[in-house]
Amino acid sequence: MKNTIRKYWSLFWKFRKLRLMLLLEYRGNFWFWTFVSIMWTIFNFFFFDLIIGARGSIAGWNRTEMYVLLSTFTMIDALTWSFFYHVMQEYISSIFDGRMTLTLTRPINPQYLLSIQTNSYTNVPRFLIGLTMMVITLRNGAIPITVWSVLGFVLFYCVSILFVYSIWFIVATFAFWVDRLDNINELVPSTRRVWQAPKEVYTGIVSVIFTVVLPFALISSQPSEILLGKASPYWLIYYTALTFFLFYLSTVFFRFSVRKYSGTAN
Amino acid sequence: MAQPVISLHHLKKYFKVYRKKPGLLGSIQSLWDRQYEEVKAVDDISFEIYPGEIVGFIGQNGAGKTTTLKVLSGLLYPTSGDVSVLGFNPWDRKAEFQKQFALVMGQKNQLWWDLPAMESFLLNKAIYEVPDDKFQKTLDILMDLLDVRDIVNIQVRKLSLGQRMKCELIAALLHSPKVLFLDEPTIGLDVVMQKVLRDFIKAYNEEFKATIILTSHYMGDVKELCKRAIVIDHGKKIFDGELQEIIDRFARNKILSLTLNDPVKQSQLEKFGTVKEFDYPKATLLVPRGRAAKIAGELLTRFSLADVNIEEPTIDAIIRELFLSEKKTA
Amino acid sequence: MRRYTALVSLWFIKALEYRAELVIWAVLTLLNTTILLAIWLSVFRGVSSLQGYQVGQVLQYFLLATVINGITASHFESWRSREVREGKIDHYLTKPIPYPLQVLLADIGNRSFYVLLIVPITLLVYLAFSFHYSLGVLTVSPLILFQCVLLLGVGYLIEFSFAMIAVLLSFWFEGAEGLEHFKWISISLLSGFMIPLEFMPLWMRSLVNLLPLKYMYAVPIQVVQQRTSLGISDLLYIGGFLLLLFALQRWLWHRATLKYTSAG
Repeated sequence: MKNTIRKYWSLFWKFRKLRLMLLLEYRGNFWFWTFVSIMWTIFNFFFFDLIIGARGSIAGWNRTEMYVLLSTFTMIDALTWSFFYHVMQEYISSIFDGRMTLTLTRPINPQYLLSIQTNSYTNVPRFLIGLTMMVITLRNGAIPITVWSVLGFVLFYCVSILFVYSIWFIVATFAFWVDRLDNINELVPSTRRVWQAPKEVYTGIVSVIFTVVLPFALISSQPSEILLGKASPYWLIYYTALTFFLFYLSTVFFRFSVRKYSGTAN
Repeated sequence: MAQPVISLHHLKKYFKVYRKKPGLLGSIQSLWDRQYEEVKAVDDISFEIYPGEIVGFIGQNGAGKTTTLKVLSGLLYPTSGDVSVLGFNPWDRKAEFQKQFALVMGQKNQLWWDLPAMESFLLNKAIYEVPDDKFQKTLDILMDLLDVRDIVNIQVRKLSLGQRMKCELIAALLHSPKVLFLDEPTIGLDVVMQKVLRDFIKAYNEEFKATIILTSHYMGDVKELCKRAIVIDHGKKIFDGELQEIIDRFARNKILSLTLNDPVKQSQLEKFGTVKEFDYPKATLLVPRGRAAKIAGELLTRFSLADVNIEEPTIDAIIRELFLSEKKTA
Repeated sequence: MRRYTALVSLWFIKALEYRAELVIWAVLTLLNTTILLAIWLSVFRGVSSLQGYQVGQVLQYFLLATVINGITASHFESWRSREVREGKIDHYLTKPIPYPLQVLLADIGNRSFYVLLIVPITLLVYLAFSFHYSLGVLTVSPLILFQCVLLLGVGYLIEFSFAMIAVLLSFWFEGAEGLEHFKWISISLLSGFMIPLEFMPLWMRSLVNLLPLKYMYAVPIQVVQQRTSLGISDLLYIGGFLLLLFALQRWLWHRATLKYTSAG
């Protein structure tokens, strides 16, 4: 068991190293996409700032609180985009073009291998922007911070990452069941606008969908609420339990779908 | 007799495919009415393969070769049938099993395109948990056998197709697999490189006592490497035995190549067999296998010949004939 | 003419074959609209009007923006640029129709199916919302209809030209496919797609009024909502801008062919 963990850990870093080598091969590409990602971050802050300007708040979240939420979103988005977008893209195209063949013959958990094989580093500066914005907002807004609130934030930041991973992996695994669906990988990132808004924005049936059934609205809200001291334990427990259930579901669905895999014949 | 390394009984693998009617109307109709067909990629195949054997797996495009290899590698779940490779059920995909075989597909690559092949080797070392000393030893042997020492530190995208294929083979063999599934390993390569790879496969088989299944469109590969061949057509096995037996059983004709001293009419030659080519002074005749020597003697007495040769038809021609005869029977 | 219709129809068939993808795009577009509507509804919670807009008018604004987006927005620059970069456009270049025209015909064929999908769905959503909110009256006079059709055409040509310029630039620059992001951000902010002009700060509103992108979303919606009407100066400005875009594309295409044939 210890050996297996060591092997999996070392493989994780081996892939990061290989990706770093590739990045150094294509430095121009890296700077270009870094610029694009920073531009998006500025756009997001600016867009919400314009909307907040209309009333001074959105669904009971004032400007400072909205900035905490947007910073959290930026940090989650930077990480999920860096890892999952590329990983899932690779996973889906390997199903469609038959390259999955090689992954499945490896003596290693295929879901793990598929989930770590690639990443980009273009969103690292974006993560740092989010973090910096968070620190500045907390300081300027005079929001009281305790060790527990920071630890809680980090913990639920990780839960959110696991939540996004699980949902994304399940969606990507549907590629086994369709002939060809090139934009299947756009499904989860397209919900990102849901993550950006506080969960109180949604009312009625939309609220039930985005906070209970597919709680995308909790992704940024929950860690932010912990920092702002307004989190509800019921939501936190529900969110955590659902996340672990989804993770379990992703593994079961993957194993089941692999049975269906035919690959391309030649 | 030794236990078989690979055994396969009544293997079937069926797929469903969708058939679209042509044109815009067909596309619109397909919105609510789709016609599916069942394709029998592998239809009741059985065979056993013993340790150290190199078996040629022959068939036309779409015959079911790759599907069978994928079932043997645990990538596809069969519709029905029993399969055992090295005593394992392949689709359990146990790590112990996966560490003992390799699948090499000539049309798919595992090397990282933008990095030197050595990086992919090191990655595979970690994935297959090959100890340092064993890795170095195997790598040395493989690099020497394939003569690639100079290129393993050059980016893969800058290598020629042949060099890339050599490195692909090394990446697949670093964990010293006992069973090797080679799917069109020489596809797209020039004749020189084909020969190099064949020699390598032969050497690898001798050095590591590996059991090898080889599919190839180049009959030269099969002829040079495999004593035994399995021929499949439309998912069914139509032959399993020594390659020589295919020639004995299916080569109905021999080829008589003549060089004439005096002009003759084609109709005169047609009395002795089928005239395949006639361009005075050269002529090529197909004659029944059992009567080749006798007919050659008759030709010598009847005409003035500068030269006469009796040849076996090429293995490609025999296989072509085999498939054609199967088609007629079907 | 027949070859053009054949190309359009072929791409329509292709779109039908890939309908699942287009359904996904339609769902995602509507999801985006739903979230925008939810955000704006929350902004209007407790007040009846802001910056001269009733809540119903804002909802109407974004629903109309979705319809316009469905009809005009182009998404081909990313994969077309990749094709150019990977040298896969040879077979287009051997056809007796210029490559940019082939791209246009393909886009029209592809889009026809998408429009058939997105417009009725959005109108259904519009209808559903109209039961709960007063979305404002939609007056359909010949003059308004004419201006709308004209502006939809203009919006499409601007979108298409921006995408085509990105594709043509990919003959020189590797990152050209990333230009899609610049296009998206500038259109979102400067056309009124994501936020009505009235909610922008003054400096930004002046900038938007100065630029021609407003004719893509803000102006057609204002025309429908009878807040504005096109004048001669607008038509001249639009004409001039489209001519400029057309000239730029022609020039780029000319340079690109020279570059492609000389570099192989």
